[in-house]
Amino acid sequence: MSEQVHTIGDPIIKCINVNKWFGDFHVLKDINMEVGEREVVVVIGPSGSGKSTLIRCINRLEEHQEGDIIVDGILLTNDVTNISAIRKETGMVFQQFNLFPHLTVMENITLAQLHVRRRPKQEAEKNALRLLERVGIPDQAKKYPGQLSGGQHQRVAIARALAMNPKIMLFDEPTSALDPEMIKEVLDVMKELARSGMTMIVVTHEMGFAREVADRVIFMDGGRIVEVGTPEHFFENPQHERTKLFLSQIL
Amino acid sequence: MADNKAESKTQVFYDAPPTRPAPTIQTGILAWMRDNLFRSWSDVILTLLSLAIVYYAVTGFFNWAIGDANWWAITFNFRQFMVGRYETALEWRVVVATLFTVFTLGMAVAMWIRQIARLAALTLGMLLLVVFLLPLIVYAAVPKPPVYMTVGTSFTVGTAAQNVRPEVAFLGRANEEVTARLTVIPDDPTLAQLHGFMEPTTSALLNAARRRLNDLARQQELEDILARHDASDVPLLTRNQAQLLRNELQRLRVPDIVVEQVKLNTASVEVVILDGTTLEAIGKPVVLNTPDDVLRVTLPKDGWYVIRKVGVNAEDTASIIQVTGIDPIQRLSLSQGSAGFVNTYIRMTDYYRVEIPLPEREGRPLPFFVINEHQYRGSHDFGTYLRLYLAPFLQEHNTNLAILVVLGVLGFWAARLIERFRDKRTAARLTSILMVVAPVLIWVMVTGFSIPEVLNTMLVLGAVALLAFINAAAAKFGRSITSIALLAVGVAVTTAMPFILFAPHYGFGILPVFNLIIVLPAIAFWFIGSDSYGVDDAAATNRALLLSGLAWLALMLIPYLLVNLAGLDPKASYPDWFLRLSDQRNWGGLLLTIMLTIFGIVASFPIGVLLALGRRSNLPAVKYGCVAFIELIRGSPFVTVLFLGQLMIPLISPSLAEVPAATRALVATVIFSAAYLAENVRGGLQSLPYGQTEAGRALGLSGWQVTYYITLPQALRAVIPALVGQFISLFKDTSLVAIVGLIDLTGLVGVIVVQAEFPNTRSEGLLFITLIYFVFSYVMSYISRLLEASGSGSVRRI
Repeated sequence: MSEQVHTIGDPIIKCINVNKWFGDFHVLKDINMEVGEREVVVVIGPSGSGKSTLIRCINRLEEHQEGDIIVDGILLTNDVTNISAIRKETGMVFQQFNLFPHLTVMENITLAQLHVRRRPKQEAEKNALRLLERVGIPDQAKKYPGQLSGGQHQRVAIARALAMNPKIMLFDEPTSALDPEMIKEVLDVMKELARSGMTMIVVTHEMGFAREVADRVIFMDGGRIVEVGTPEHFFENPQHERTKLFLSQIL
Repeated sequence: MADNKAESKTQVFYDAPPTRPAPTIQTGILAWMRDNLFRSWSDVILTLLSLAIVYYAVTGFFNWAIGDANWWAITFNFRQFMVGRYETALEWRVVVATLFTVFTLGMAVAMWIRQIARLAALTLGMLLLVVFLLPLIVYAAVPKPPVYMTVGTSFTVGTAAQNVRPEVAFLGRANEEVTARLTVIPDDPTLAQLHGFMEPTTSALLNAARRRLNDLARQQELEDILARHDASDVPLLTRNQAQLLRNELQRLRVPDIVVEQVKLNTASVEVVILDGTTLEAIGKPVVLNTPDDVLRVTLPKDGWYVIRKVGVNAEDTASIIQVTGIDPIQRLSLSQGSAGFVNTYIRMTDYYRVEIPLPEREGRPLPFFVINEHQYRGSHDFGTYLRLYLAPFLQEHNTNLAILVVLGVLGFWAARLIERFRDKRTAARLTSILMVVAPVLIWVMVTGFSIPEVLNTMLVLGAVALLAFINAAAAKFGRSITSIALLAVGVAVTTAMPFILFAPHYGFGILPVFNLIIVLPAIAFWFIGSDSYGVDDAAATNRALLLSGLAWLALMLIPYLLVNLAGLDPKASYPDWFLRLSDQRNWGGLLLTIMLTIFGIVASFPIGVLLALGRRSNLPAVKYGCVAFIELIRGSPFVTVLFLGQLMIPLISPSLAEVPAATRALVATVIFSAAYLAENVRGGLQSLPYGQTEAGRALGLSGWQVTYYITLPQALRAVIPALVGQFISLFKDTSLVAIVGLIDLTGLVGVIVVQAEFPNTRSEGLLFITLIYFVFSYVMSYISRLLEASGSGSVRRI
């Protein structure tokens, strides 16, 4: 287990009795969860367990029907102002990267800086170059996404999210669509990010990453949080039968 | 080396063999033919069959186009084909708009589709070379076809007495040579084969000869059939058939031999050329006795001349003389108002034109060599086709074409130079600006710009400024009473101002409802603005609020002050004004087609995009409104929409009846095109993965920003082929306005066929406009293919 270099602060995300339905299908059931500042939380679970839906609710890409979600002190409601305020503070990285194919890497990273953060163009571009350096691809700024590899795609997507200077980063299975060789380069960036003290919620199947980086691991099944624990406890000494079954199947 | 080889464990036996050229059958034209044309028996049959079909169609077509078509119907009506009856005095404005557009297109090629520059330069260069050289070569190499004239007092062919004109006027230029000599026409077949321009009397002789030969042939045919019938043991014909043929043979009276009946070329002919004004002879009269006698006159100056030809002892005889140096003339009568008509005479072989009156004798104008009486008889050979039609046409228009090409090249180099000495962004931005300005300039130049339109334009710009103002106000004050009050006041003033200005002059009609439409975008912009309440930079918001507010106030107040203090009459059109209104009823030809196309595209594009976005909206009112509009329009034929525009719009409000028919057709075109465009754009939007929208929203972009920066650009790029296809079909569909009485390119074909000079020229007209439609459509589709293949759209991969 790696040593945590950061200290965990006060809760920045709170989910209180969150329930969500897709039509008649009950996706999230009574979710109660807190994530502290600078904490890295890894969410694991079988597919269809509601992991992705949970983190998509946090930046309101999905709407929950019952309960409260409070992000950075703001209660998520239908108020447009609140939603945009929360999205400014929450970066998100998708499984399918979702880079904008008609814009260059540089434009992908500066777009929201210019039009949401309203930064001057020069500052935004300087920021973008700095971030590209941080994710290890400073020479790709002028290319279009179509000219990049999958791993580079995801690193650009991380840089794009970071460019908004978010307080929280949400990762929705960031390595699931990558070739095995490319997974490492993305995970390295994420590890570096975690060490720098970013608040992160990561939905992933990378158990190695969870062991190494996570402060806490959340196991979900059937829309419920089944078990929460530090990686040591979680992986060495799972409590719930479902957790044991899941871990026995994937490890 | 040898030692090393022996020691090493691997041994190399293989030397690279010399490369040999591929067998002939593998490369070049032979290989291509084998692979593509003659791969199998069925391919061979198909190839030969298609070649036969193509040959059959093409030869027949070219025989007509070169041998028999009368292309003067096109050349004489060329101006009509280009601009219809657009006012001559205002024509410079069309020229300016055209030149500006070509310049802009040159810049656009330099910026975005430079890969075609080489091809375009080559094509245009070759074109110019041909256009300038061909007339020179043809004029030098191909003589003009001769003219056949008849001499004689009066003679009778068959039963029709012919009156020969002793004097015929023609246009000549200094140093041109006119010759006349007797023809050698020994028999009727020779006479029937005569081809060239002819006097009506010569034409009658030729007709008589042809008729006689036809009758002879029929007689021979009938006799042959009956002879075989009689000789055969088994009857070849029924009794009835045989009897019918016998009756026909009996009735058939083959006329006398024409050359003998009129004693062709037996009498001497005296020919002389007279000056057109003084009617004095130039040189001595020449008596033509034999084909070797020639009258040869070199004309001293430009102007009218008269050829005088009389027979010597020529009672009841006719002679045909072959004359060179005389060309058909077209008379163009232009009304000059109270001054009556001014006749312009145009020599069709080289467009030499004069306004000098016709020569007169005893107070009556002499007949002249006019094209509708002196038709070309027989088929032209290729040289004659070039000399009569193509070369003069090219010579007439090559300078204009060269000017257009030069301007396009100038635009190209202007963009290149800006790019070299400033940077690519500046050049691209300037080009974009010009491309936005071009349609505005075209509209203003072609229609003109009158006082009511100046006022209207200010009010429309004021409405745009109002939207910006409300956006800024909502951003500054949020969803508060203050911003709502500003919204209400702004909308009220902007809606009311047109009435304050125009109602005393025009009356009300239903227009208040139209003006109230501003409420919808105003509310939309209020919502958009309030989204960024407290988010945006306060100083920028204040600046935007101040600027837009001032602009709005100015644009509302200035028209008011102009009308009420400066005494401007909002209804006047001010005929002596710089850009006075052109009468849209005069628009026609390519001008009308292009106007309908350009503004059909320009106006339907934003409307179509908005409809597409509206159809995907979550608001039921917007969504189903758009669906209803789109489906209604898509469910009706274009012709009915056009008729709605022409007939039913005036029913909405009488004041709309004053809107010219061309504009109403344009409105119908826009409505029709927008509905189809909306569906194309919607297809593009639907083809995008939803992740694109989500990624944008996750970054904090608002719904409008996601649409504007992320989904719409991708969607539009994805549907470029469909959009261009639609614009091409819009270009061609404008031909339907001919049905509602507008004289566009297609409508013009119907106009030229009723001209007395050009009977039966519908085919020529249709072929010509097909060519025009094709050139424009092909260039559009070629450019769309380049756009698809260029830019970031081609490397799209997610």
